Amino acid sequence: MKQFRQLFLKFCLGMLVGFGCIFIIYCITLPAIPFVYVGF
Amino acid sequence: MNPAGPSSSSATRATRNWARLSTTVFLAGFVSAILLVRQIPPAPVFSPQLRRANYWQSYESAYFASLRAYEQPIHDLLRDGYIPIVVFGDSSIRGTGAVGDAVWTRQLEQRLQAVNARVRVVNYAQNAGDLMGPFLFHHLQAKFPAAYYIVQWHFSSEVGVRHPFHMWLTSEIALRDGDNNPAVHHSFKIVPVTSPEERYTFVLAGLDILTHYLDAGNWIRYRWLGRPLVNSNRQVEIQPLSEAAESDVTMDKFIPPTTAGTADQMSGFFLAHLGARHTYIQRPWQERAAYFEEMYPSRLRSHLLVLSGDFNPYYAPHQDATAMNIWRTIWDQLRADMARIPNLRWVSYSGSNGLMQVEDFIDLGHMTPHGQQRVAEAVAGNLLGKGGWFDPANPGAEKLPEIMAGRWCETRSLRPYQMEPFRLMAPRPSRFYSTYGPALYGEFYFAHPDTRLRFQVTAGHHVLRTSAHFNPAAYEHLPAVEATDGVQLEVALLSTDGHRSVVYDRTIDPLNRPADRVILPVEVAFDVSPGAEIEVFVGPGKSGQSNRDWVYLGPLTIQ
Repeated sequence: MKQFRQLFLKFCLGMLVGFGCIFIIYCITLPAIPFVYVGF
Repeated sequence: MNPAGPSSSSATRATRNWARLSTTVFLAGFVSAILLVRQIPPAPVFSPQLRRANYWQSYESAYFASLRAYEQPIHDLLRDGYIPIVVFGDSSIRGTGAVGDAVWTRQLEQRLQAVNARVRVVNYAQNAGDLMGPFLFHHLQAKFPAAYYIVQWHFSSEVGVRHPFHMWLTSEIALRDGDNNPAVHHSFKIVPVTSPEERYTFVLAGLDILTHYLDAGNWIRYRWLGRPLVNSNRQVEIQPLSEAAESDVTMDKFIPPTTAGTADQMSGFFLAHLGARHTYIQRPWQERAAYFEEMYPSRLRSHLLVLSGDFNPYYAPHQDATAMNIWRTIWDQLRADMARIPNLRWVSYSGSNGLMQVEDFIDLGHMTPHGQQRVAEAVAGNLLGKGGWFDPANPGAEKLPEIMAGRWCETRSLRPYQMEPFRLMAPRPSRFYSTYGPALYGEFYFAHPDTRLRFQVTAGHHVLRTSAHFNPAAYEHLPAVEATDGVQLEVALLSTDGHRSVVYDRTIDPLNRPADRVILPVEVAFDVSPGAEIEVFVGPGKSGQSNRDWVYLGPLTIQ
C-alpha cells in the first residue's frame, strides 16, 4: 500500500513537471515576439 | 560470488528495480501531462461577437493564435454547410477605422448573403498580416479547398519577408507543409533563415506541434486572464478575452500629418513601397507571370480573389510631384499586367483608378467607414457579377441554397444553417411546411400562412407555450381591402391512425379587434398518446386571403 502510494506520488510529480515545462515554454514565448507594433 | 551474501544482492536488485519502476512511473506522469494538454481544443482566434481579432486577441498583446485555431472556424463552417470566405491582409484589410457592421468584411458578408444566405466572411487580417497571408492561404487552401479566399497582395508582399511578429506561425507552417506550400518555398528561397530569433521560433513551433502549449496559454487568457481594464470605480480588473468588446474606435475623417516627423515617417513608408513597386515592375514580364503561377497557381484561381490596396495618394509625399507621377505610372502598368494573367480575379482599390477619394482614407492606407463601404461594393460587384462566385449562370459557381418554401421538409435531413429559423423552439419541429419558407426575425418566427410545424414528444401530459403578434404595418394606415383579414392559429394532435383533434383554435384579427394588436400569450395543455404528433398551424383569416398576414410566433416550448 505504501509502495503504491509512493508510485502514485511519483506519477503526480511527473505530471506536475510536465505541466510545469509546458507553462515555462509558454512563458518564454511571450517576450519572444515584440509587443508593440505601429503601422500596417 | 558476492562477499556480502545472497540476501544483500537481492536487496540491491530490489532497490534497483524499485528505482527503475519509480522512474518509469515518473516519466509516465510526464508523458500523460503532455498528452493531456495535447487534447485541448484550439483557443479561438477572435471572440465570436467581433468576427475579427482585436488588439487584445492578437500577437500585439502576446495572444499567439495557433495554426489549429485558424483551421477550426473554417472546418466548423464547412461541416455545418456554410460557405466560408476567408480574408487575409494587413490592418487596412482588417478594417481598422471602422467597428461592427461598418467593417468592410461585414458589409461584404451582408451583400453576399442577400444572394446566398450560407456565406460567412471570416476576417483573418491583422497588422502587417499581408506578409503572413500567403503562408496561411496555402496552408488552409490545401486543407479546405471548398472554401473561398481573399488574399491581399501588393508589391512588397511578394518579396517573401517574414516579419518577426509572424514567425511563430510561419515557422510552424514551414515545419508542417514544407516546400509543398508555395509561400514557404518562395519565401525561404528568397530570404533564407539566418537570424537566431527565427531558429528559436522553429524550436517553439516544434514544441507547439508536440504539446499544443499555445492553445493552453491562450485558453487561460480567453477564459480568465484576458486584459487589464479600469472599471467605473477606477479599479483595475482583469477581463476575459471572451468578453472583450470591440476596442477599435471609428475614425471617419481624413487626418493629415500634424507634425513634420509624422509626415517624414509616412513619406518614408510611401517611398519604400514605391521602390518595391519599381523593382517589381522592372523585372521581365515572363518572370512576373511565372511568379504569379508559382504563388497563385491557375488551378486555385476559381476560389481566389487577389485584393490590392493602394496607399493614399493625397497623403505623402506632399511635395514630391515626380514620386507621385512614378507611382501613378506604375499602378497603371500593374493594372495592364494583371489583366494579362489568365483567370486571375483581381480587385484593386486605389485613388489612381478613381475608386477612392481623399475622404475615403484616414491616413496613408486605413479607410474611413465610407471608404470601406466602397471596397465592399467593389469586391461584392466582382463576386456577384457575370462569372462570379455566386452567379447561378456560372457553371463553377456555388449553387444557391435549397429552397425550403412550398413543400414538406424533414428537419433531420437539414443542415445547421437551414435549422436557424427554429433555434428558439424547444423541441425543434420534426418536419414543417411553409408556403414562403421559414424565417426568424430577431426573437420571432415568421409564421406567414400556410405554416405547419409538426413536433414529436413523448407520450403524456404536455404544455405548449408561445406567443403570437402581428406586424402593425399589416393593418395600420391602410384601406380595409389592402389590410390583413387576420389569421387562424391552431394547435392540433395527430394520432397514429390519422385522426386530428384540435386542442386550441383562435383567430387573430388586429384590424377589427384592437385587443389583438398586442403580443398574445399562447398556453395550451394536452395529453399526447404514444406516437402522436403536435401540429401548430397558421392559416389565412376568415375570407381565405393571405395578403399582409405578417404574423410572428415568439419562442416556443413544449414541456
